[in-house]
Amino acid sequence: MRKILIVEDTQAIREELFDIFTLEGYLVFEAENGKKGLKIALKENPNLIISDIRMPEMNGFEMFKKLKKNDKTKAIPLIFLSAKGEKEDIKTGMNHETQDYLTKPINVKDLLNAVEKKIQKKLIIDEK
Amino acid sequence: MEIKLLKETLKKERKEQKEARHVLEKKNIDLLQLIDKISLENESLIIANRELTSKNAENLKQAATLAFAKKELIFKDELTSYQLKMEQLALDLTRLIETTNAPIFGIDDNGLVNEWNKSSEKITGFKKHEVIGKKFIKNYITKEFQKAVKKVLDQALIGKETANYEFPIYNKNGARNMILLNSTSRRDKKGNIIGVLGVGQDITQIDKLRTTLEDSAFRLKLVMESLSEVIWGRSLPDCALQYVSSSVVSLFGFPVADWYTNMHLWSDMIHPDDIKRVNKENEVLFNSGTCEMEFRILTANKEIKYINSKVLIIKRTDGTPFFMTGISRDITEQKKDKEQLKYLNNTLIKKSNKLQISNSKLKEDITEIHELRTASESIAKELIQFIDTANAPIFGIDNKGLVNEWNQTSEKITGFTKDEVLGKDLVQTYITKDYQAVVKKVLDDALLGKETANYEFPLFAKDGTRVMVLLNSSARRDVNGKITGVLGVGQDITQIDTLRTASESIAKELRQFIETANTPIFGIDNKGLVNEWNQTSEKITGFTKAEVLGKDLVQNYITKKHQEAVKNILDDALIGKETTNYEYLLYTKDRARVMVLLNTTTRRDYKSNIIGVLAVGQNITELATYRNELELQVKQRTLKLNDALEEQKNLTELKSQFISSTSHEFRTPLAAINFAAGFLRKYWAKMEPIMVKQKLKRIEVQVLQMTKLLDDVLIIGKAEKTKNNKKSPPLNLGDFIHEIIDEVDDSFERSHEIVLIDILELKNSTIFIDKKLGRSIFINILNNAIKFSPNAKKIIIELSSEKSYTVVSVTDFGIGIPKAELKNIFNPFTRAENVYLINGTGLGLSIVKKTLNIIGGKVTVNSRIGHGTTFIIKIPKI
Repeated sequence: MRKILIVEDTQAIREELFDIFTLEGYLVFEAENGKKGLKIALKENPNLIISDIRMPEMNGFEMFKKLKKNDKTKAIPLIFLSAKGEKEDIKTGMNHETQDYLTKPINVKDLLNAVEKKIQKKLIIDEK
Repeated sequence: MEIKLLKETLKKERKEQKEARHVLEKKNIDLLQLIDKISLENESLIIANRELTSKNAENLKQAATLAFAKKELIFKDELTSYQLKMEQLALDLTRLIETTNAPIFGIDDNGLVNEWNKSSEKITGFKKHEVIGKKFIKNYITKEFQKAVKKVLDQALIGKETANYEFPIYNKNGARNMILLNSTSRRDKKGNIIGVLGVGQDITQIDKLRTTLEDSAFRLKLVMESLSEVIWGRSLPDCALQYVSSSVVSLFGFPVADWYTNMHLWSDMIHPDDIKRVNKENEVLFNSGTCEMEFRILTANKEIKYINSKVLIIKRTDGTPFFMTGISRDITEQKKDKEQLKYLNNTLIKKSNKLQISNSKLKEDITEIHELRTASESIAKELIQFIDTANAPIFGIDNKGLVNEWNQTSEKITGFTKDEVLGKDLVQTYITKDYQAVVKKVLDDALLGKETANYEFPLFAKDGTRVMVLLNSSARRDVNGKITGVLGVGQDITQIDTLRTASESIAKELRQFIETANTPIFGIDNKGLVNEWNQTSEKITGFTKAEVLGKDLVQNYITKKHQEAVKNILDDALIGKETTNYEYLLYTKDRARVMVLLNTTTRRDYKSNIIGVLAVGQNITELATYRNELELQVKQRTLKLNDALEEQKNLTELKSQFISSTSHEFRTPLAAINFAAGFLRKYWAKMEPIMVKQKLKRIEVQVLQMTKLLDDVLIIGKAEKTKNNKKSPPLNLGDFIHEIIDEVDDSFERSHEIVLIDILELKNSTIFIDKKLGRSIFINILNNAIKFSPNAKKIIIELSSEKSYTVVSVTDFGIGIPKAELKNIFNPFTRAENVYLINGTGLGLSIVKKTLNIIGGKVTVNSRIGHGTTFIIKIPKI
């Protein structure tokens, strides 16, 4: 069973994402900020992380940097799910591909597509 | 048969056996008998052997005894001869002891005398027979030495011998004899100590001699010490000090001990100027063996003393010097007396020389005086001639003021002849009334020796006209230098005086003009001190002329800021560079400042030397004030304009920021709605009805959240709009607050008790605020108070009053606000870290702040994390 970690401070969004990925057959973990997200990622080694950016305690950007520094978590694929505006800031700052960012509000279909693509890509890399 | 046969055979056999045994037994007995016999024989043999052996031993013994006896015989012979020799030796020794002239005595190991030779008898007077067997120490040694002598003898008795021990012995008459003792242990044949033999030496005479010597040495020392001269001795060739008398202390100032330890002390003390000479004298000393020298020393107190020192070198018989002795004495006093005498003698000679010289000088002087007198007489004659004919008026008065000189020019100027004038009182008769007192003073001064130069002096002429004379007066003295009168040398300045009077009147007019001019005019001298100050200057500054004259203009009357510039202008004027239209500030008496427009003119004396600066001003204070005010106004307006511009800029920025944040805040509920809707569309077929209901409910909640956000945004928009519309209708504070409390109670279903404290009875007072805006302020604050204190039961609203504000404070007992967040809480969409579980738009407090800003009110906050928060809202009274 594939594991997915949702890092999101807004409870409503978190609950919706939980429902969607549970029905899609994932084992879903939830964290309400970057700090907790980092802890769960280390413990559960999920196949994918979906993270908000603006959060209390530790924002998504900081969490991402910490994940990349740790050998255990640096290969975990991550998708930012953020409101518009934040995305522009982070993109210029981090020089990442557009597909790593999803903008709120997004369709369930588009979300699931992006997640599936990301996981496939990771699998191909692993096989190589 | 067979058995019978068998039996018989057996019987036969038994018989044979029996017989054989018999034979054997018999043989055995024979053997035993044989053994006995042999051992008997053996025994007798052993006994015989023993006897033989003992006999043999006896024989051997006898042989040994024989040999021994033989040896003994030989030994005894040798011994006898040895003994004989020894006895002879002992006899010789005894005789030697008896006859030697050294006292020899012996004691046994009990301390009893057992030897006492002739010499001992002679010295002590005790005969041998008297002494033998007596206790030696107890009877013949003086009490005080008994212990020590006993020790010496006891030591000898255990084999330790003592050499040259001195002790006294009594003789028969009780006189004491001094003995120098060497003790020897006396041993018997086997080497056991059996007594002591003492060999003495009578040193009674030596001892006496020594005592006498010590005595005389002591006496010599006493004599030496009582002398004021220093007597000293040094051994040679090491030059070490052997003795020095204690007077060395008083003479040189160093303690005696220093002299023994410091060999160079003596040479160190010699006056540096005398060292060479003393060294030379020392050479003489070592050549001739004696010398006497005089030199100076520096004592320990740095005092100079004159010393006379006689030194003698003592030589051994072979001519080598081994001792040096000397006597040194203080001759400072004698030396001083000598010097004094020498000095007195010298002065006397000098005095007599001087007398001779002055005598001859006197003679010369007398001649000179004669010559001088002749010369001065001729000069006097010439002078009188000169006075008479000089073209300057010359006149003289005696010490009573009566005229005694009147030359021809005086006659010409005044018209009075010498004859008329002589003997008349000058002041009374020829001086105009108004000058009499002054002239008299000048002349009286001259009579006291104080001379006056260039004094203007008015005389009457014979025709009644006034003659102006410029006078130099000098005292006239007799030969003794006593003042006898005054000689006046004049100059007729009547013409000059007239001219001057005219120019003075012009000056007066000018001065009048300066004084009364309606512009401020003032002058300084070349030191910068004020010397002109006209009436207008007085009027403007408030300082009177009297106050200002002589003061430093720049230091006292110019504002600090302008001092340097004004000084530069005045300095320029003082070197001839004039300045026009310079503006500067003067102080008035009441420290107000006056703006003056200044033109400077250099002031010169009649020889055109620069003597100061004249400044003509114009009071432009009012003008300047007006101008300054204008400038200030322009500045203020510009500032205001800039502020407004800045504010506009900030506002625009804020607005765009607000729009961007708002759009962001709308995205979150929209995302939630979108997810829920998408979920329904995708999975509706497999969803339970309750799950569908839950999703729909979530959509509704999110729509509500969005509506609230929209309302808040609209309120902010409205607040902006009312900015220019300042007039707000009056509201009753009590009614207004109660209305809001009711509304909040309804929406939170009375979760908290809201307490209103109104000590000052302010509920009937009026506030001026738009009702809708007011509501948005207090509803937001109260909502927050309840939302952020989920575990508390109470909210307190307190009304109070300040000078220009009505104050409403709202206190909750909730989670509080982290310190780091306090400064941001009034910014839009700011939510503290500890509230992300509590719903909110993040706009509430920014609405409160904005609204209060618009009506001129204030909001402040106090908070402690975990204890609660108080918001203080101040609404302006008008």
